[in-house]
Amino acid sequence: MTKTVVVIGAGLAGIQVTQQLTDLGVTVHLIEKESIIGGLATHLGRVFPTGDCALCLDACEELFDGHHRRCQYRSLLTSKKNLKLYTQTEIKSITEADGKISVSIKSHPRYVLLDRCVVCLECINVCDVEIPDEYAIRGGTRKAIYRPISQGVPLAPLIDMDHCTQCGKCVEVCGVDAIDLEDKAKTRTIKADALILATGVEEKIPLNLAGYAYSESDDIITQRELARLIDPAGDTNGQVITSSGDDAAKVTMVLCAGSRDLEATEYCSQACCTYSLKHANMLRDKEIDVTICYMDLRVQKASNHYLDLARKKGVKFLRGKPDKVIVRDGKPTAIVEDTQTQQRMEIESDLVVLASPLSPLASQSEVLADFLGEYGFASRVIKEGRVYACGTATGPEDIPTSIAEANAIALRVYADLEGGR
Amino acid sequence: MDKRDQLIQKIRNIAVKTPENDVVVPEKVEGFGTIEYSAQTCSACKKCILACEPAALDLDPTMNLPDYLTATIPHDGFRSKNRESLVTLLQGLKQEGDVMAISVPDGLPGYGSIAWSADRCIACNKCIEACLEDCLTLEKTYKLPEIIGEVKSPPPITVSKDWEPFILCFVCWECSHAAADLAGLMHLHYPTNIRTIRIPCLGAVEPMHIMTALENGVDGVLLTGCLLSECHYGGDSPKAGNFMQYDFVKFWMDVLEEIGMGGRIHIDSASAAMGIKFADIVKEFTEKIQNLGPSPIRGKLEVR
Amino acid sequence: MKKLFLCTCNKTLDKKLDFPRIEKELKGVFDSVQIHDALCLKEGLAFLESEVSNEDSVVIGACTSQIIGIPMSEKLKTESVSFVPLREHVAWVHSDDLKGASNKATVLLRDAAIRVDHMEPPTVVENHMEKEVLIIGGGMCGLKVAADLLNLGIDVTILEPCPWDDASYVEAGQFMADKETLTKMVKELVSATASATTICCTITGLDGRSGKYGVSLACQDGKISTIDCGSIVIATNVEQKPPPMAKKLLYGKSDRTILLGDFATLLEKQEPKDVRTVLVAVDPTHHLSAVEGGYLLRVVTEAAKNGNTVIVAHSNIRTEDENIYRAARKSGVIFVRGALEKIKDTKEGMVCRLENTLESKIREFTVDLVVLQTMTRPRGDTAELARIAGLSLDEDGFITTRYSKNKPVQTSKKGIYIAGNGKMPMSIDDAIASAGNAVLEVFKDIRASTRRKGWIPIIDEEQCDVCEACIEACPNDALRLVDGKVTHISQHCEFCGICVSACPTRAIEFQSHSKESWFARLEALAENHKKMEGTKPFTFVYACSECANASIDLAGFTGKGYPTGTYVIQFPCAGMVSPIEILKGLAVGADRIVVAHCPPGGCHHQTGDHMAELVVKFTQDMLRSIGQDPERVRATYMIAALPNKMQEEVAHRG
Repeated sequence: MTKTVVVIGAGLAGIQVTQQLTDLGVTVHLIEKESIIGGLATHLGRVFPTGDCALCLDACEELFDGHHRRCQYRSLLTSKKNLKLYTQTEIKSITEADGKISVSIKSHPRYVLLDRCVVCLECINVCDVEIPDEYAIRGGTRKAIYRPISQGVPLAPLIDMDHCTQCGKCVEVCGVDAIDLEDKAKTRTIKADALILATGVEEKIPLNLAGYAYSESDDIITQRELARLIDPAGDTNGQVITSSGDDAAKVTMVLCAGSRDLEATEYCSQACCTYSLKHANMLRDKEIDVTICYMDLRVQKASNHYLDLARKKGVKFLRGKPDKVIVRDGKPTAIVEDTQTQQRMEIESDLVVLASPLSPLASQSEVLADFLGEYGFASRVIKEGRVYACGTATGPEDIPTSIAEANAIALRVYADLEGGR
Repeated sequence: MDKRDQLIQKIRNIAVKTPENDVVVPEKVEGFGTIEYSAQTCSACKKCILACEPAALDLDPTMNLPDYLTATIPHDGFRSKNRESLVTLLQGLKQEGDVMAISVPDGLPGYGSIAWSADRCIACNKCIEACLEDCLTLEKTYKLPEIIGEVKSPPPITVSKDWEPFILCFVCWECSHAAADLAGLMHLHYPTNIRTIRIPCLGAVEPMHIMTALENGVDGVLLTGCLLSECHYGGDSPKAGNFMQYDFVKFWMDVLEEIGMGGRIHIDSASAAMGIKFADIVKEFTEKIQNLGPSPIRGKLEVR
Repeated sequence: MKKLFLCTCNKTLDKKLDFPRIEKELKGVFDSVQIHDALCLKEGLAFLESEVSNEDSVVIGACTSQIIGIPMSEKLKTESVSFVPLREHVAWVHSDDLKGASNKATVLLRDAAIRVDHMEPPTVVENHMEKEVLIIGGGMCGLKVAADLLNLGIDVTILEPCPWDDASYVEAGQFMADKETLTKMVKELVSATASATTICCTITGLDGRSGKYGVSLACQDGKISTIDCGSIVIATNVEQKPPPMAKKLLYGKSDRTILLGDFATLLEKQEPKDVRTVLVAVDPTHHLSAVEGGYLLRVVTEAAKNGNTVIVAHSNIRTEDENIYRAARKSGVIFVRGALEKIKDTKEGMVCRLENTLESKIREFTVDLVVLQTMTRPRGDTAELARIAGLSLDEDGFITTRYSKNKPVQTSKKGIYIAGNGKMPMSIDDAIASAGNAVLEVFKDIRASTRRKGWIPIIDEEQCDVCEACIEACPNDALRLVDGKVTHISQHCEFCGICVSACPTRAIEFQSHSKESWFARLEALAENHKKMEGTKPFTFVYACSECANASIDLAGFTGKGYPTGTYVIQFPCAGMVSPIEILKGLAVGADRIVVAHCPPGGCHHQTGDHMAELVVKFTQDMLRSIGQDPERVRATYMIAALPNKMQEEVAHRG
């Protein structure tokens, strides 16, 4: 009999483990709380260690013979026969009985029918509502019916009912009857043989981080926000601008902002050094002056070239973690002691970018609380034969490690379910 | 050092002036020649390089654009369709101005041209046989200036009054040795300047022998064999020894001429019944050498 | 019958394209032209299914084939299909130019009509994998691979160059985790792999192909044998090497300078009375990996706990677990920022001079022992193994994977995988994950014979000069010289066509992409453009169908418009483009040619990006030499994350 697995989280690891299991003949219910798949990668644009797209997937064997990578938008993930994707879906409860695991989910309505929409985008063109775009940093807007990002899968738009005026223009213009303003939330319970947590991490928004004035200025941003600024598909068309709209000429980066700190986040987030270097290099390509304040530079072997390149491109390195970042005359200023010269410095910049820690998303869900260990991360095998985790749900890591782990867990789950021979 | 290298080294040793002209290789002389290469049809398949035993050919990472642009299609008989397309397209896009050869980027397979080194080539024809695209031909010229390079003239030598030419004479042990014997029997006088070396057939004389003799300071080399068409080892066969030697010595005479040693080699024939002729040959050649004066190599030798 | 189907995409494209005019223009080209409003929906697919017979050839002008290609191909009874992405490549990017967009659509659809004339059915390639797996290296990772494969019912042979000894795995893996964890794991793995065949040999040769490899072995007893296997997993371990500064720090000269591993052994035997003062030096020129850092921290913590005085001189400490760093500091280890400059062996001890960058001054310590942080480097025979298997190495001698981001265990050779430390130093968790990953790939290969479909190169032996350029160019070992003939190993073929660009004689042609077809298409494109647009300059973009095509699609999705007169021509891989297609494009009158490929090192077929750059550079040199402007030809990478690339490339022309 075909086995059934529920995967929570359709980020890179969740998608990877899902594709592998479905290729092995397992039915997978992939559950994603956002309206599109991709998780953190949807924000990142380009990623290390290869410097190409974040939304690059290992293609599934069923459709592509498993030998090519595919962009997310052309992955045809939703066309896989034994894969069921639920977006905008939350987990209501997880229970175990009769050797099965029951996952109750609630899917919020998209108001756009996936099997009807041809993605002509006419509905978006006619919508009159303009509201701030979650993916924009400098005041970019979106409509009430919208596609969060251009590579978003499912490709069909969705309606943000909180802002929709129900004017009906989109319904009118949709010649293929894909819009249903009466669409309702659906709840259902999936009985599965195993559950995999691929809930991932998010970059902590440092609102409460003492001393760093993140909430006081829009020119103190995080690395994820910087990625949005650099992204040519973002609202600034890739221009790195300050909150007043000027091109940034000087950027200071603060590594370990709130990490490796017993008062804040205790652990090291592993990936931030490298993506900060990646961004620093991209800023140097735009001839922006970059200073990186650091404690240790922890770069993965596969990404050492980012550090070498940064040195070559003239990124300035300063060993020392700023005590605080203040806003002076409207400009963010990092106050830091250079531990190599023991000079106390005040670095005024157009932008200060904080490498905020990566924190586990699973810890935000009460339903998953029982599965989690230290700091809210899970171990790979939470319960033999039943509950597993992979990707950054098990701890911060880079994409290659995350992908390898997802593949290994796919094998483990398959072997455990099908039984060894 | 192989034999060809040795020979060329010897020619360099005896050269007293910089050669200026290519030497025509007479029809019957083999082993010397020029490989002409037309780049436009070449597929850089390296078959010729693999076939070449003395490693006279190599792949040069350049593309010989001037050849491409002067090729005529379809006259040149392109077997390589892709090369034909490339040549046609380049000719169509050509603008005013000089065309230069360009280098092929490292790591791009399928392009390149054949570099031929004149001094290694033994004109064996194997490359031409191996070439699938007919881009190699053997020309009967020997690129002496390219091979020998620049030559510094040795210091002039002073001719002492009692100088007598020293001549080495290769005689075949059939007719011409008999002629020499007969000259003796007939008590004919000829100059004492010659030393004869008996060999089976003139065809067995190698340029190496001649060059070695000259290198060691002999003033002239004389070769005598059977009458034309009467070689004991081939009769009137076109491959007969003395036929070979006529063309052969002609070639080496031209070579010696180019390197400033002209006239110091001579070939003739005398049958067993021609004792008088033999004596005359020696006399004439000795006189000729006497007029030429001593070998300039003596100067070289003295310096050494 | 040649049929054209156009899709208006919910009647939205007809605002940007003049469908009636397009229909009129193309009447003579196709036997039928039909316009539908939603070809991608159920009713559209049913319509295609009923309208198209297996005798037909079909052109579909709709949205990008990347999205509709596979679903539609499943419904179409013919394999002779060409897609024209009217939506992403025309309507959405030329929305302000109805006439120009319609003209461009007409030109592209006419091109597709020629393309289907040259289309051949794709070749089916079957690959049956033998069930035997050879695992090279019987360390922690090799044993894990073996255990998992045995569990799935697959026979394995483990190959080790040295005699078996359980304890030596622990020794060799000591840097990966603490000894307790390792000992336990080895015990479990050794018992789980009891049924594996183990041999002690070195590999001397490799032939065959993925699914059927033949490995030649030289055994310790001098015997030579071969072993057949379907796939190979390289799980070679690492060695601890002295760092570059070892010589300067008297390693090998003084017995008071030792390596970290030797220090760890020393600690095990240390009596309480033997406590020492120790300086542990980290080489600033060595990029410390997290697992090396973790090893260092565990050893120094242990040393401090034993009562030794431990100073660590470093510039960066990396570890995956911040808590072991904290534990080290808590145990009394003194961490000093700075590099050891000089040491002197004296009667009192080793006098170490180091510059402490935190205090900005030079300090001297006199210690009993100087301990060198070791570098983890691949086992000595790795380079030879890589040479035999045809794999490449990185600057530190580790074996490189096919694509470092999301192909973590695939090597450049099909059927050969790499697990664990042979790729880079790994912690035990990462090594075990990579073992599981390798097993998954092997298992997927074996589980079902794969049937792949694609266009392959066809070799004309008559024409072939056996120059081996194609063999040299093929990045996937799919072309080999067998009995003096160039032979295609279809099981290795990635359907990229790079081989074709290298052939000087046209003895190798790619199915559906013959040179003749390119000439016909490029000539027709130019002619039709001139007919529609007169003297307006035009550009050809030769785009690979992976990253570059995606980037151009995304330009449509994000509305990054560009001028009409830009024709995107898809190649399976940019590495297939040869100077001939580029020069032909210029010869038919294109103003500019852009060859768009995947990002550097990111080609889906491994080398296409590099080959495209070389070919373009070479062609530019040719153009310069014949008096043409070399800037008319450009190579560039395009990726989906940079949807503005197309706009940038074609906007600044002229």
